[in-house]
Amino acid sequence: MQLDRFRIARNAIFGAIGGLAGWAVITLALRFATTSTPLLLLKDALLGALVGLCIGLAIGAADQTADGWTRRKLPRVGLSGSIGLGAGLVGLVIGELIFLWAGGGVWPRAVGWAIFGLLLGVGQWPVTGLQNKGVYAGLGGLLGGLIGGATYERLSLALLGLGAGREIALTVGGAVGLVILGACIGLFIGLVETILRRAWLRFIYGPLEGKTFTLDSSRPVITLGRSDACDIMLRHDPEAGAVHAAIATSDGAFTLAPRDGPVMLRTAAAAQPVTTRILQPGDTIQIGRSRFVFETGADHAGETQP
Amino acid sequence: MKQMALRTTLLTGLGIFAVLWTLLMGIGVSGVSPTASGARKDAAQFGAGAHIMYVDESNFPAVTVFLAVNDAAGQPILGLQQADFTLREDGKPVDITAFVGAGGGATSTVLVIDQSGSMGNEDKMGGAIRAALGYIDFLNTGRDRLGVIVFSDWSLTLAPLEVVTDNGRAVLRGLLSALFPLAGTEFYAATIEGIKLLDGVSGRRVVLTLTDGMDNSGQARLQETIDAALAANVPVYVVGLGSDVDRSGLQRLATATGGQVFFSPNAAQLEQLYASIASNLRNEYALTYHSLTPNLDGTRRDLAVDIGAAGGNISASGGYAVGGILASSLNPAVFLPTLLILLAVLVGLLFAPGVTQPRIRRQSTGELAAPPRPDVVSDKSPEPVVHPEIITPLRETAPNTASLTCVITMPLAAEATTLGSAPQNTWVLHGGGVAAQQARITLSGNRYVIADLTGLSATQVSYNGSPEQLRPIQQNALRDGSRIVLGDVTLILRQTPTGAALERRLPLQASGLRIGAAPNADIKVASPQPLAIRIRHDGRHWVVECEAGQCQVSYSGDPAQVRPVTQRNALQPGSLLQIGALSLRLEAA
Repeated sequence: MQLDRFRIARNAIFGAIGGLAGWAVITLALRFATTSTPLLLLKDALLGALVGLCIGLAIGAADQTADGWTRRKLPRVGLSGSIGLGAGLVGLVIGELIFLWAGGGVWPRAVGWAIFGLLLGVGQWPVTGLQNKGVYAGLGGLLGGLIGGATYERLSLALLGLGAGREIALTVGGAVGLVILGACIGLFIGLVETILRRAWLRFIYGPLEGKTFTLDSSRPVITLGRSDACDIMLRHDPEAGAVHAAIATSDGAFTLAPRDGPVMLRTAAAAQPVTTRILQPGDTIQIGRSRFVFETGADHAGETQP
Repeated sequence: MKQMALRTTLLTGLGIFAVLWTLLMGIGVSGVSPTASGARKDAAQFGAGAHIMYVDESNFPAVTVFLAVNDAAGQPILGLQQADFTLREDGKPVDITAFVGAGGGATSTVLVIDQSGSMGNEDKMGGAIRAALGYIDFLNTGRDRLGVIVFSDWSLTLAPLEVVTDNGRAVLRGLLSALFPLAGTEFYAATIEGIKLLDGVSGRRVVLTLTDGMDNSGQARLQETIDAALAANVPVYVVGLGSDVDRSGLQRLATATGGQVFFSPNAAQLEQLYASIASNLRNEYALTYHSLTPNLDGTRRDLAVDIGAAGGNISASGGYAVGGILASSLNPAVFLPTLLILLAVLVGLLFAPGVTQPRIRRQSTGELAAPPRPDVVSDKSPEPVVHPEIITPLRETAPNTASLTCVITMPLAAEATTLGSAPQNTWVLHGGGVAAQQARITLSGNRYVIADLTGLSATQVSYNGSPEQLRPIQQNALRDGSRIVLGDVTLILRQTPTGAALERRLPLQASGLRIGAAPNADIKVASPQPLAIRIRHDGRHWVVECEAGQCQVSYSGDPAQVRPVTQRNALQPGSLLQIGALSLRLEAA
């Protein structure tokens, strides 16, 4: 297992930007919303939905655009946003109900945010079509929501306790708090995935250098190439074919085969063309100008050729 | 297996961390109302001076403050006017929008009465009934509301919360008089029932509960009762009768809910106690105002009241809290800087090297390090590694030549035309991202239909030709002007009644263009005979050279003047070339 700090950092920053956007949106919405006690739950539903939409869009975008952006990914990011919208609505209303029932405190709200994170994470299953992804992200969202939610609440309270003006405390506290919340959800979704995933490609050269892509065994074929229909898009690799190569998954084995272009297996001595290859941990593959290493979470995984 | 255990350990660790973190964050934030800075319910006891007895925020942002104003002897001061009161929220004076003087208000009370077995001793039951009847008599007919619950091992709602009428009084008098003691003391459960009756009712509310014994159901029930009262914002007034009561528990219940606690040693004093409670409730002043910070932001607001008339200056303070799980406040002076600063930090982090992507290795020139090409192809290799020469015309410029664009027209075959980078296609398209067998165009009726052969919708089509309308297709109808994009290659369908062709525009580069059957040709044309046509710039002009095979040209562009190429003819914008079925036209770029 190798913690992918770049991916986790990217997820966290995207989540944080989502949280910030959510804060800005609800702040503007609150300007125009009527706030009265009888409408409290309605208000929570509305605001939760808005924050959820923003964080959902951000989390979806972080995941979908790891290999670059194309217009084709818009529907998936949009779906992630809508799932976030629903999750925020449900999570916040439940959180407020627990909050009212418990008579206050930090944990009821944290639980509400955890429910939001869980639903948003599990929503990545329909977004990506990958069951494992939903499980990893659901777990990550749950933890991130709990930690981020608790921190958010505590921070707002602490700022108010400092005696800062209510407006400043609410504004700054809300912004920083939602940034932390979004960052935690993104961070833990990335963290849990890099802990739990079994096999992945780590790009060591080319336009995707430094990025890793989980090979999800619930997807029968994983394609790589310049076309934006590919699962791993080599968009900025001028030497890659439309669908340059494909990896078939079956019974935990990953079989690489060329499609529109040559695939080279690099060893210490030389590179040789591949017709089909059952990937072994440590295999270094060249496609166009991109080079990646196949790695697994198995005990014998290593970065060097056996 | 080791990895499995490590994963489990890590995840468990994360889970424990999350729970501990949440609990840690909750330390110091009591479960007392949705408040910010540890606000407490202000349990003012009757006595001299002014006291905020109750704050009704159920119609927030309209807030009603109930005040008891007593003289030095503890007797209510009556007759004060609105002008006598100054109300401040968080230190800022507010306008009182509605004022109800002493005795003018309406109250909602639920009497909770113990009828456990021990109430049978020392005429406790009788005293409790007399006290309750006295309380009922004290209420304003047609204005105040009353509910009655009696309890022993179970709770019984003797009367639901209703406006007091003469008829209702008579019925209750009968019911109460018939009470007799029995069984145990489910005090907390009954109190919660009373709170529920008042939940959602606005105005001055109170649960007045009487017990003479211990509820053995424990501390958890006490906390549950307090939580219910806080959630419904109902103060619980507690009367402990005799010496067997759980004094600290009752005290806590009253204090935590903003109520009052009274301990009466015997039943004889109950009647007077109840009358005094009723009188005090009735003589409260109610001040209604509109909150200056009308956000449901989950925070506490402090209240202060100054009374500047009779009895000298007296004042009272208190507060209330509103719910709201998400809060913010739109103050442009704070909002915009906060937004911009945080956004700048986050976007900066996103693009900072070494945060979301590794630092890029750079050579001294600042260029990207040269790509490592695949090393020498092993000579044992069973298959030749083809590195098709890729035309990258858009990425290079021809600095010393006049720019010309070559418009290539590829007629469509009658049955099916295939497109791709493999040589067996009808039209071979070299270009970045073109699949070996990418697409097929067939005629269906009088319409051409394109199908994507990659199975991945790698082909994009815009039916009306607008680049904005391009979208990935599996199969799509075409018309004159439709745009087809395969990798880097863009084609336009030209359809006339006499036939159809695909049009491709290629800017001419300094290196020129090779057309023919040879493997290194930029545009491949299937031909049984050798065919090699070349367009290149000789330093002064664009020229066409016919190295092998047949090529026809019209320099003026007039199709009638097409004749075979001799040697090195100069081309100009508008010139037309025909090579087999393919025709090329030159245009000024």
